Amino acid sequence: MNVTDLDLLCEELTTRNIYSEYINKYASVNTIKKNIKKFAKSYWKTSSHNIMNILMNDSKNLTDTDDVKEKKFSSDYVYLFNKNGEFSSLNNESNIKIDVSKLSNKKNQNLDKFVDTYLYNNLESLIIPFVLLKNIINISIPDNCNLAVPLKLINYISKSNLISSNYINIDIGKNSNLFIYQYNQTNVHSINSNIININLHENSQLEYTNLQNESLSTLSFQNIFVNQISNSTFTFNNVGLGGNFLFNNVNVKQIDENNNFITRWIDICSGNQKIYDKANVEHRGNNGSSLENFKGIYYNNASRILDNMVYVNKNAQNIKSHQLSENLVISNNTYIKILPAMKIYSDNIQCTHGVVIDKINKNILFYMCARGMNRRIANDIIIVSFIKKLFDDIGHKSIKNDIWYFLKAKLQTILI
Amino acid sequence: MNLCVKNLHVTIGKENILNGINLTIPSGEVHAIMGPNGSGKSTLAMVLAGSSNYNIKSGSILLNNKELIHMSPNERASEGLFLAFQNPIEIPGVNNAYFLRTIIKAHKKYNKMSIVDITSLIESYMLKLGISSDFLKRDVNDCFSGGEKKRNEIIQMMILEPKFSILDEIDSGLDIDALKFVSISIGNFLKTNPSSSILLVTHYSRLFKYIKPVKIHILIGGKIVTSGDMNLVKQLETKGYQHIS
Repeated sequence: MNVTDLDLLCEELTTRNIYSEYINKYASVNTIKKNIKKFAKSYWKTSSHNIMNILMNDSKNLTDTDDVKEKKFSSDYVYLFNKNGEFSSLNNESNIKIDVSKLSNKKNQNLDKFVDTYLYNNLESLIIPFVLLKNIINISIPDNCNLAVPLKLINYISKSNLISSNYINIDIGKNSNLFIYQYNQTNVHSINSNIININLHENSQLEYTNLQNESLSTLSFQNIFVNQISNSTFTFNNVGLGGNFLFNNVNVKQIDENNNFITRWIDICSGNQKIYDKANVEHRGNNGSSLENFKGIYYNNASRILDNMVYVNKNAQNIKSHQLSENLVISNNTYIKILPAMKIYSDNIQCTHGVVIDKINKNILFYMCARGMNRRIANDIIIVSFIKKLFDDIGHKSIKNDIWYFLKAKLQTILI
Repeated sequence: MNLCVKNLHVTIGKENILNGINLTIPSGEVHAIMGPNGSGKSTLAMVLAGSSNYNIKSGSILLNNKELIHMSPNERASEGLFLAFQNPIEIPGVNNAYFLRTIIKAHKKYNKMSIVDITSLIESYMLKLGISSDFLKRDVNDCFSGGEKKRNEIIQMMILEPKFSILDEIDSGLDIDALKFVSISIGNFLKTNPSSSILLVTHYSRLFKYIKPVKIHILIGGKIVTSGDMNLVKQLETKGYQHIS
């Protein structure tokens, strides 16, 4: 890509949507262009397609030729269906209130608040998702609501060269409990971006599972910002299977006391996939906990960076925080960079972090072969068992079954 | 004849570990190998099972007249060789039920059996050995005590019914009850599989209270220096290995 193309891209991005209204408040045009160029350069080095084509194609009016009706929706979920950037709420007979609106020049209160809180400090992560933004979705769960049926948010891009970019605000009322399952599937050369802002009120619980099953030429940005008020539990499961470039950024703020955060990440990277995961936890209140477990399996020329930070505020006492990153390397051509970090300004805490990067354990392989298994089967079992423990902890059966189906499909393409 | 090892020389790097082992164990017999630490007992067990950590310089390993030297570990297992590991490996994420089903299915004599039949076979062994079905739900050797791990090795041996078993320090780390369980199970195995033979690798004679080996071989410096009957063990207990070498 030459300089002119980059300038064109920046021009295109910076004149889109409500960019000027919202973002100019925090960054000059030059800063924004600098960030876009920085991203564009790093991305194009690894990508086989041109982001300009996506932007140009996306701006054309597309006629909908796919038959969505043929897709079967089960009663196992309440659906929020996003096809090619158009949202519809299906079979919602629950207490989930879903409000979908197109991004316009009219100010949105939620989005305003989000911009004021996060944009300045997360400019690098949010700049592209923000300038591509199209939809605003508000999901609210009233107080004292226990929903056994999960909400399934489907991001489905059926055509090539399309952008789906959304801001989703989720409010979980006091004493409420919910499972959300975000499923991402895309066609070639598309961009799937979501900024998700979650507010967990007192005594609420949310288990959020994100399955990334995008096409291997998709660019995906998932920015998740969570505020835990008090006595809440937030569980985040991330299963990364598809996508050419995945950027996941999870920011959790425990504002008051007795909040728990649990996260489980399973990334199976193959081909030329590039994954950049960021997880940031901030403990501000007493008696908080964060338990983070990241597992990755690496094939071919895949690469992954995990940037993981735990911050304990000086006023936060009795904090328990544990980070563990385990990485199984199958190919010699993979690139892995794990950056665990802790900033601790309080005395009364228990914090640990650890990273393991290794190949398949030869002793386990020999043990299994000595029992009669051939090397190929033993190898496959070891790989599956590596992620199984984490997968088993996913809290809802329907979600687990779904995830297993796609995990199996991905494994079948890469196991020997 | 079951196992016949001839002039086996093995090295790790430049270091000679086994220096010409000759060992014959006929069908239906139990033999034992004893020796001081570092004499090469466990190396012999691992080499027989096909570990790739060692270089075989020369020699042959025949099991029922079939040469094993160029066979992979799973091919040797299929031929009826079983190694009970001194330190059984933990496999988190793979439960015993799945592991047992997979290894049973991998063996020639069971490979046409349905999963239902394999499951009932496993359950019948659990019942026979008085082991709770919860054991099957646990991951292979994961968070097992030393005794449980050894017991698991014996369960696998009993189910697979190998022609030749090497039990590498099966008695180490066992309390009296666990030792009794393991010994009685081996005894029962021999009764139901009279043509199978066993090589016990051990430091202590306490296992011989329950299982009587026909022959004891003393391994020192990677070589069998002498072989004999139970009287040899008595000599060892009073005079130690120094006297023998």
